[in-house]
Amino acid sequence: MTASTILSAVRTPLATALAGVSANVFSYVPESVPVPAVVVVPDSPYLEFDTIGVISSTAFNCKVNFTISCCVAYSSNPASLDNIEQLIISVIAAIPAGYEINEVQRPTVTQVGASNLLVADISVSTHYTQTN
Amino acid sequence: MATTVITGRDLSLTIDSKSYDAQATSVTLKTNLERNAYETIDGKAFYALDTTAELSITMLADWGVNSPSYSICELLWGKADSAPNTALAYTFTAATGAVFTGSVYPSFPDAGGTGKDAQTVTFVLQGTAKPTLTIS
Repeated sequence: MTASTILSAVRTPLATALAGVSANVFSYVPESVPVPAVVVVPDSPYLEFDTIGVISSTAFNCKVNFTISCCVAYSSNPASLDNIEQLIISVIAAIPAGYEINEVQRPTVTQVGASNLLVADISVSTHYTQTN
Repeated sequence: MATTVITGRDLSLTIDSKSYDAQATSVTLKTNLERNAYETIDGKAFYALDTTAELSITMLADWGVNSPSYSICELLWGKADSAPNTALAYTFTAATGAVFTGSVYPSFPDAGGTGKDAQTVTFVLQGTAKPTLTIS
């Protein structure tokens, strides 16, 4: 049996669950961001060890923290804010069971290349157990 | 002697042959020695009467999770419901070479939590007797 990984057991299923939202979904940071976009990136701290027991390559339990960045084009402020609010709601609705949804940071304007994006970060957490 | 540090990673708990390691966030085995105190004309004298033990556990709730593993909450609820007077054997490792064994009576785990956080349950299992410490 192939050992599970955080990529296969957590990040990819999370990105798959978010695939239904009306945005480009990435389980990594893309080189360019085609808006609207949802990007799953590690949060800090990334891994926390809150359960008892030995941690080894075959017995590995940890809490995994992610930031889900919601990005929309920033043109007019009212429309962009409305767009990102709708995107945030659709993302939160699509987050699978077993995830703690911690908070949504206030939207900020971020320049990516030549374009401005309105970006809001959603902090989520789940637990990962190595299965082999 | 060099300083020795043991942590929660050294802990391990098995109750009724089920491992709690993946779910438990805190486990404490408390053993109480009850003593009577007597005021004698020579001063205070103490006499040990009885020993009790209890296992306090805080763990991430796992109600409804029976695949691919098992639900500790549901197992414990079932034992408390169907056989509350039947003790369950436990093995609690404080660190390699220091293992406590004994038996505890089942109790009903709590259910519930806050809107934001992962559900956790806290419960105390009463021991049948003083645990046995095996040092190797």
